Amino acid sequence: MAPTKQAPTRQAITLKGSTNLVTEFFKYAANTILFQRGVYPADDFHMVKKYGQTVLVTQDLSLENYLEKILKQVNKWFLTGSITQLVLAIIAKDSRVTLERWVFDINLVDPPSSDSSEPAPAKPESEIQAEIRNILKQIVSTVTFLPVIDEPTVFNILAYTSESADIPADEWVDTDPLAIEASKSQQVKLRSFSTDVHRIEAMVAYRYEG
Amino acid sequence: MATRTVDMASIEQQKENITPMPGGRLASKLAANFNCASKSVSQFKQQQQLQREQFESKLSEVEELDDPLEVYVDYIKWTHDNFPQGSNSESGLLALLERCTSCFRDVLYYKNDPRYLKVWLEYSNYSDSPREIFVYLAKKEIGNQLALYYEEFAQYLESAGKINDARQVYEIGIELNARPFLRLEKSYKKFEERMMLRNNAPDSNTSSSIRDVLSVKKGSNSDSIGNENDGLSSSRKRQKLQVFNDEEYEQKLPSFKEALLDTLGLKDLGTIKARIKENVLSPKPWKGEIIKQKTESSRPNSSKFEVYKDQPESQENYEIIEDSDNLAYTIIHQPGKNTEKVSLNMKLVYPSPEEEYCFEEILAMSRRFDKLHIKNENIIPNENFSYPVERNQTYTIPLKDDTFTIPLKDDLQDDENESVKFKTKENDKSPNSPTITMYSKMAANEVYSMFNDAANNLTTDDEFDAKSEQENTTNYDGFVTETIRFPLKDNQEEPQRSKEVSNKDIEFRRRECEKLTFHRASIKCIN
Amino acid sequence: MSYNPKTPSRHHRSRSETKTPLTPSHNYGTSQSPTKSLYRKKSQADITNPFIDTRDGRTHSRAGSPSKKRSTSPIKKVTSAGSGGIPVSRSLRKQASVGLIRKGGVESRIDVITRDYVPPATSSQSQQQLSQPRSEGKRSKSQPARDTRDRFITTRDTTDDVTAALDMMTLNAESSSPGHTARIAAATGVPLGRRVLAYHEAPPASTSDSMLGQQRELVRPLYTRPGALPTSTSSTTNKTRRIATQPERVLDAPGIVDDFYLNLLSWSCLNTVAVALAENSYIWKADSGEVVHLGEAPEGSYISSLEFSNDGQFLGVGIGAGEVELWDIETQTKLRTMTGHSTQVACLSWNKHILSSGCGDGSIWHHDVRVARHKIGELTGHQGEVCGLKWREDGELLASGGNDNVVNIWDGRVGDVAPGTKGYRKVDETQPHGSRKSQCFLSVLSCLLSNLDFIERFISFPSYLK
Repeated sequence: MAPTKQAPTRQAITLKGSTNLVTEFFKYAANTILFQRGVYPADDFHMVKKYGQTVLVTQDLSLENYLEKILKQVNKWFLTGSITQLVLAIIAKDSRVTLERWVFDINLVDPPSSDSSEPAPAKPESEIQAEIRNILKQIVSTVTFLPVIDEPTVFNILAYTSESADIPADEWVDTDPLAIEASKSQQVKLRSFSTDVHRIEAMVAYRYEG
Repeated sequence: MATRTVDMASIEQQKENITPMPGGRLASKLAANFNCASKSVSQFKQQQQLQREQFESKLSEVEELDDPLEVYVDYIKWTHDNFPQGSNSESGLLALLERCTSCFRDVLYYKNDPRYLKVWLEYSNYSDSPREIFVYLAKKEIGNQLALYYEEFAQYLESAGKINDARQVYEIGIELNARPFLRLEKSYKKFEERMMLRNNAPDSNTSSSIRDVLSVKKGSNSDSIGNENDGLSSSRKRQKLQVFNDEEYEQKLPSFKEALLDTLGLKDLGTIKARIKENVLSPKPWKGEIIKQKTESSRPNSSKFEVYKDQPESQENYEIIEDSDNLAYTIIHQPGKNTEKVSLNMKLVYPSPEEEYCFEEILAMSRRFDKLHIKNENIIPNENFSYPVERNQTYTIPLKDDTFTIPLKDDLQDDENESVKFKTKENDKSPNSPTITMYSKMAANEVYSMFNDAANNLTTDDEFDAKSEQENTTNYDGFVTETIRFPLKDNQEEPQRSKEVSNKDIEFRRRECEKLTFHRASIKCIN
Repeated sequence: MSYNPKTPSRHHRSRSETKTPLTPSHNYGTSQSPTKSLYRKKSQADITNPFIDTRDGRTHSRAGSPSKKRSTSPIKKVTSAGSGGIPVSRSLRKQASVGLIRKGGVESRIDVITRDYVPPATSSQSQQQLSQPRSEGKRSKSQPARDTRDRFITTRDTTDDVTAALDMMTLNAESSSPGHTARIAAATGVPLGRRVLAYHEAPPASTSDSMLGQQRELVRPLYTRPGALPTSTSSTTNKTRRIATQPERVLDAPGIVDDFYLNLLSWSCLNTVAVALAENSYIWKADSGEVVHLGEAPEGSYISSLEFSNDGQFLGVGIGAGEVELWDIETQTKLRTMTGHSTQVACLSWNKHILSSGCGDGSIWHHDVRVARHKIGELTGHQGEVCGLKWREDGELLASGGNDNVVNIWDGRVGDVAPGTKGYRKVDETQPHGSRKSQCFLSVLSCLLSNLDFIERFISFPSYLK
């Protein structure tokens, strides 16, 4: 599905570029979510300029490294097209109840019909950045309806991959999806953004006590 | 997934109108709410009103229900869902909370109902003195078996800096075995942890201030507390006043704890409005209120710019008046503007706001007027030239006595006979005087040429005139109607023609020819 | 058998020693126990079945400890610092990597999603084990983690059995009943052929002082209280002007719409206040106390914004349907209606004879009120509704704030150009804050509040205007 290595160089470059873009997005999105939901203390975060606006990233080195490791692998999966979904689940520390699931669907943009002729014009980076900005803003504005989290929480990043994916055995393990109880789950679809190759859709599911 | 996914976009648009609630909100309800509201505001409001009435009717029967609190809780929940802005006049949330709390405050059954307590807690958010409410609840023994009460109270105290009080609150709760006990214990433990971490900052100041406050507050209760106030009066270091010196008797002061548990001296909590009425100005009607500006505000000294006004629709009132000479003119009344006088009958020109006729049309209509049956608004051309035909309108074309219109003969088949195709108008213009029909165009042309020759002879070098006359000559063929006017006196003016009309108008030209000298002179001046 | 006690389970939780046919346990268990069992087993530990209480020799299995962590003790020994990184043999990994569905056996009769998972070694010691009961309805944990380990305890006697069982348990479309598989796939939301993976390490705990954060957490709810303690919000930092906290006057405003996005109040330089209550607009002359009912919004719509012109002679009225009306104050008549906007006009701002209007679709139009073709410019730069709009007094700059949390500052040059001219955007300040409403030009000129706060439905006049 995804352009493989035999694909023309241009496509390969696009794939790589797009992958990096998306992986970077995940990094900032994850940081934003962790900050907004209070998984880590606010002091841990500092502002940086990215996507034409200020975003918050963590200063905590261990957290940063942790995310790096995960995202590196995610990046590799992107290149092989084996990853379909990335989930950041927020779980109560004590009771292990999943409070929120931030789900990012990964789809591949349909290749242009005429792949022999000139490739479709590349999507301008500014446009992609604008779309990412919107998603991040939406994440911030979810505070209006998400339940306040009183208790300490931890997060987990889950990757949904295909069977054939190459998984470093000692690093990734199968787990359960940490789903929220269906009767208590509310889902809100957020915006999406797409590059030339990938299309990412965001959604948040949260636990709502009637 | 079982639940449907809500699109954030619909919520995002109104995100500033949503008050966040600690328990979160149902996104689906929010989206539904906003979608309904956007579609039709009035309908939506009606629906809401209906639902609200349903609740109210249920509430009226509250005495007969087994669990009346449930109705209140549902009603409050409905208010939350439908008014995401929170408490405002539309939602009536605060009033509702007040009703609910005061309704059941003495009902034993609900004293330890967590739902009831939650209503109280929400109510306390809108109060400017939540502490009072907590104390009231304690004295009323509402929620004293519920861990939630102690947690909330302690949290409030902690954020207000009253650590010891908060600690005591926890202790009371644990003593009384409030449910759920484990959770309360956990909260207490966490609280203690926080306090330990905070131990760097000496909070002795706060504690002493608390004591001061407490001692003052509990002046009236000190007797009932018991034997802890023994040593009160002994220390008298100061000579001036016998002031009880706190610091030595810290331990002996009636503790906050006891104060809470003491049920005497309970004041009734009034409504929030009553409590704050002296602090808050009550709203007054606007009329009569004056606020003058102390400093003269800066007024721009530029003149008021002229705004383009939309074409007046039915704002203007036309008043048609006929003066002594049977000339009609219109007085236009427009609010805010000076009344205007227009020397023509505007009603003919604008019979209705959407209609406008030019003078030629009016002429044509007036000529064919006799041919039209006005009754049922059907046009029936008749061959009868007789006048007058009945008409509905009283407006008439103010023609001079010496002018008349000449209707064309019916057998002229060319398109000059447009009059047959005229739609019926409301106002039919019937000429005052009989008209003469020119039976042949050629004859007419001949007559015109006579005039033109006369005109041509007079002008020699005026190209303008020549041109116009040339044009006139050629245009004669195209005319549908003609009006022959007898020569006018020079000083008479044409009341109908307050505007210049196109030079294709024969009549006008003719008049010009008649008054040739005068016109030429004026044209020369113009040139 | 889910560990959910509600489900009638033939396999009692405390079945550690039960010898039941090998069945993949439903428990996806707690991270630790499977891990531990993994660890323990020689090599065939049935990863899928954490409960595989292995041989009797195992001391780990605590007989009769129903839902207690199975064999936690042994695990503890082996687990490395709780951070995971359980070295398991390749074969195990492989097997583990395949989702298992229990086929045949007892489980298949029970519609339970049985997807075993190798415990993600995500939990550190301090954390509880992650265990999510998986059942058809995706129930959340109904009991504390520790107790949920109820699983199907099965034992395997021989490795052969294990392998065989493992094979059986392979989530294989062909081998299991398609209906069952499909049901499971549907219930989990995870299509067949997909795996759910988690990083083996747990996320690090916060290293900074959490007390501060906790304190903040504690205090946060108070800050969001509507009727907060009178911790004053009076901004006395402004040296030149003190803004009072108490209103000077409170006037009743029944019917005023409590909507953040609407701007229903305007005070002219001639000391006249215009207010919109539902569909009606009123003018109150503060000098004389006289109140005049100015007009009504067209049928079916409502007034969404009011703004006096700079000289106080005209009032611009934005309508919910997208029109902008212009009223003359002296004659109290409507002069014109400027149409064109697609949705509600929630904010207006005057610059001499130019009236700028911000629309719900994010566009800002410039209208020249003196000419028939009023639209002389358009600024598109907002993706959310325009909440606040304000010209600088000299007409050089226009500030606009939107629901997309963006503040734009536009060049004020508008000429008599054809419609469709785009304004030039100078500055775009995007902050992770809420919508931009109060537009003030702080830099050079006086600070003009473009909206006053409503206290319920009362309008209060800050006495700073005195």
